[in-house]
Amino acid sequence: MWRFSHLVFRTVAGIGYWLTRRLTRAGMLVAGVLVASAALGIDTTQTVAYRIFALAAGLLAVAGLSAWLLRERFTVERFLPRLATVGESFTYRVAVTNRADTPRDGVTVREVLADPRPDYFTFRAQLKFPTYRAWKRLIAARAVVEVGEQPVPTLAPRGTVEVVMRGEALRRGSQNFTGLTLARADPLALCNSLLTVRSGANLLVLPRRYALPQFALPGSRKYQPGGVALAASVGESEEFMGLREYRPGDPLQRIHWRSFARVGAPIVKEYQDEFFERHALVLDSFTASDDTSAFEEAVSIAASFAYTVNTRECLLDLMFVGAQSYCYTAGRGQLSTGGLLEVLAGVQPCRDKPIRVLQDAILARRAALSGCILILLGWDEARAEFTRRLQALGLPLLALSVSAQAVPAAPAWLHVLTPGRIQEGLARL
Amino acid sequence: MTMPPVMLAASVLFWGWQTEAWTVAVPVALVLGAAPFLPLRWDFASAQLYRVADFCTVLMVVLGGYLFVTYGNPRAIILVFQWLPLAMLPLALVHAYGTERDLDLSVLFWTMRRNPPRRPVRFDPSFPYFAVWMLAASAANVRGETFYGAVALLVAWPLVLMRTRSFPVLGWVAALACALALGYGVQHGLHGLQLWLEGAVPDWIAGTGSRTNPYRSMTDIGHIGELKQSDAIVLRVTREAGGKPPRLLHRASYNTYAAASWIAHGAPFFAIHSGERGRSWTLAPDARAAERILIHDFSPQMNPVLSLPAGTVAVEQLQARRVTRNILGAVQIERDPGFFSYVAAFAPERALDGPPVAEDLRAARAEGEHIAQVAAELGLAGLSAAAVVERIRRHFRENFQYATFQAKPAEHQSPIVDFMRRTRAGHCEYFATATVLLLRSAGVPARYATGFAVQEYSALENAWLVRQRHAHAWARAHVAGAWIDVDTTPPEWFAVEAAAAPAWSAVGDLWSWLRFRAARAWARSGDYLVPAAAVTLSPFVLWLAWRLYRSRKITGRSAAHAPARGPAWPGSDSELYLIEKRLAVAGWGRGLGETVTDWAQRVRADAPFDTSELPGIVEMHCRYRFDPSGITEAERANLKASVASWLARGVPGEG
Repeated sequence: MWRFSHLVFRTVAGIGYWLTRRLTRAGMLVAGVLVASAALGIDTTQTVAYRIFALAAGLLAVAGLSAWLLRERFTVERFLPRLATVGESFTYRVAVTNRADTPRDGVTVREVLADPRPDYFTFRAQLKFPTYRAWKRLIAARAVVEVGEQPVPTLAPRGTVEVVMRGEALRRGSQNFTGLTLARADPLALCNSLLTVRSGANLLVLPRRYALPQFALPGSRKYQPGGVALAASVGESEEFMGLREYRPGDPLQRIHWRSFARVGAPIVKEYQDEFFERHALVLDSFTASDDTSAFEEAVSIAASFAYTVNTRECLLDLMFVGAQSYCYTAGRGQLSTGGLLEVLAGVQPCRDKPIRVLQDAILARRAALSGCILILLGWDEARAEFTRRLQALGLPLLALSVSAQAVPAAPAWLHVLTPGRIQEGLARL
Repeated sequence: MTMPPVMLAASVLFWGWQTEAWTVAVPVALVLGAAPFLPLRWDFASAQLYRVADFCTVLMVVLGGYLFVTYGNPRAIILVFQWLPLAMLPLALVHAYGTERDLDLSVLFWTMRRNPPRRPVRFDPSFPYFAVWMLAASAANVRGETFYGAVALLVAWPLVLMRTRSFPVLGWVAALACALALGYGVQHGLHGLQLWLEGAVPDWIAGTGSRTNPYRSMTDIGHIGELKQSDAIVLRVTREAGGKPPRLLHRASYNTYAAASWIAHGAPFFAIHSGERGRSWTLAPDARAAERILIHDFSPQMNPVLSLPAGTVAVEQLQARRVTRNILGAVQIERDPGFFSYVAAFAPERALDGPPVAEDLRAARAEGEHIAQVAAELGLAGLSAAAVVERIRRHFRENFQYATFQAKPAEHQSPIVDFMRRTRAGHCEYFATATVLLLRSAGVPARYATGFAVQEYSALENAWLVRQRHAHAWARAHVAGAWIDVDTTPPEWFAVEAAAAPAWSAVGDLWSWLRFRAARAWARSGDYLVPAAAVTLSPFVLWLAWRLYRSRKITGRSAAHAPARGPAWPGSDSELYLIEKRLAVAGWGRGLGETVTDWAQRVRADAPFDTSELPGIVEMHCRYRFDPSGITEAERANLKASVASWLARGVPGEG
């Protein structure tokens, strides 16, 4: 049943794709009339709908033959951006050149993306029951971008026009563009003559980002007068730590005169030298569920932090576990923020390792970390133990948990975010 | 492309012409065609559109239900298609008088309302609605060549408007002509193919619905047997005086037997004049009816044949355009398919067919010798007609059995001889045929009669039910100057056929009874049907109109003159844009991000036509567009005149 269903769905989807390419909108209406009149006119003595069927068949036959006989000569060049972001539309230009000596109108340009139809093994693994509706949902869930068809303005002989293509990024990941198809309608404007030009390109779709409120990174300096930027320009920048008794050798500029007057003995201000903070952005990718909505939201939250944290002031280590344990550092001379986002664009859930692997990776870098932003998928005993270990080591934590279900007995310091209402949850940070 | 204003109205008028429903078509065409010219628009929200679409669905269901109950399949489907555009008219009206050019697809599909797609799918319903009117017109089944010509003209109209302009006009004309010619040939070929199939394979075509000749002048051995496969109720019979009606109801008789078929030879139909108020028809003027039975019949075909008891002298309370009969006792009426009823007034046990003719004594050519032998064995020679009948009855009663339906035997083998000599078992057609042939060999005129047997009483319906499987065949013999029914089929045949009824027959009977009651109610309502429907539906229509009225927002602006949304910017009405549009069509459009000045320079440098005035026009336009102090009236008029002059010269090579 599964094999047969996959073959049928694949064929039907292929026929639908072929029809939408080969027929114009008017052509599709005529094809619909053909089918309806065939049903109504099956008995030629009862109605005369068979005459409408014959007329529709004649129109489509002549239009199809005309389109098949047409030979078009175009060249196209695509100027595709490298990156896009989920939930945002993007535009790019396509230059179309008419290589014929006569003008051309009725032309549309359409992208040829990689075949979205899943193979049999994906189909079998992802669906509970083979229905066409589930098949369409599976294809829609796998779509990374969607690019609409665009009409091309009338092309002068040997002329070039540029068309703005509009696309929408649906899901993070990489989308392969294999080519462009130019369709020109036949004289009756029912069928399209197609010219497909091979033009490979890749578009990387970055995760969705949410707006974060002003917040202090866990373990960050609060009293830093100027930060690293000031230190770089004035040569010295220190963090005020407190007051202590004077020791021989302390500079006189550091004497706190008010305390001296009160106490009667010299009191000096103590500072700590500037050094780069290093924060860990830890993404929990351990999930056994087929529903990846919580995981996608967790990735988006990680992208939001990666985008918002100022890596000129600190280093940010993105840590997660996939096929192995990964750590990518952004900041001073390391990866840029964009680089982290590109890494997050390709993160996949980990289904075969325990969360302990991530715990060990963080503990190994504990000495270098000033604080940790922890994004968890749900809350259970393993994750509770994980955070307890981190807290026991004195590592300042900002812990967020993405969970569709309510989290019973969540600690007060744990921020629970619900998929679909992430922005509201982040606003309360 | 938007539909031109009167195109939809033209398709409505075409429908009115085909269906002859001008009283409906003309007002609808006026209302739809006037929409672009009237300054009336409503702003309908999605929820209101959903309500209207649901109302259209209700209309379609009510229409379909009424037609199905009244006419049954397949006629009901055809009539639904014929009247479908009217059921969709409310939605068409809200689109015509709404502010949106397109409708969301979720208006038509409930699943899309519950799970809206990520990107709304919008469509212009004008063109599909245009196609629906033409399909509906085809359901009226008006023959003749004008239909194809009219549809071709209606279809060519939008094709002209949306043709691909860069192709020469002659090429478009040639393509359209080829398509029309091809379609013309195909439609004739399709009809011819069907007629050829009907003639070549009559067995599987005949009896499956309305056909060109549903009332056969011949019946094959096995035809009655095929009817016995169905449990469907065909007649409901009640006796005026109460009690059991006559056992046999006659439909047709045949007088010539050849090659396992009975043929009605030399029995053309002739008209009977109607009597009282055109609802009674006398078959035997000299006879007097002794009893009456009421018969409720249903025919999916036009012009049905009546089922009448032997000795019927008149048919009363029958609505028919015309009644005809033949000398073999078949009575056919002219009326539309559906439920109908009539009263058969009859004198029992005296079939009033015409006197015997030569065919009534003609022996079968192939079986004659064998039949004569059997007749000799029975000693039929020299007996009176009544005695012959009695001896034949006894012979079949004592020596033969009933067997359920058997298919027609192979060619070159006489089924009757096989029945009489070897099997001695068969269904009613064999008994009837053998009886007729034996009677004829004994010199008694005889005919082969077909019809139904009335044996089953229904307490639910308080009537005697006749089903397809009660179809029966028997012999009619001319004895003592009158035709009598001679049924030699063993009486247990009825119980044997009843035992083969399917388990779900009770459900089918209940549904059949509901359909019958509904059809009778509609038939009784007669002239009051339309007002009754209007009264029933009007509260719903008024409520819907009130809800739409309460939440309407009249824009108060003519759709044709609606100002553009968004702020108007200085110079937006400059005539230079007309030149830009004209040059774009010729392939000299302004590129993306290209300024007017750069574009004009490019056109001036490369275009093969005269552009000497263009720089001056562009400069005036730029001042009009960007100069804070604007331009004088004289300069404005100069800009207009320059552009008009430039446009009047035209652009060489324009498509």
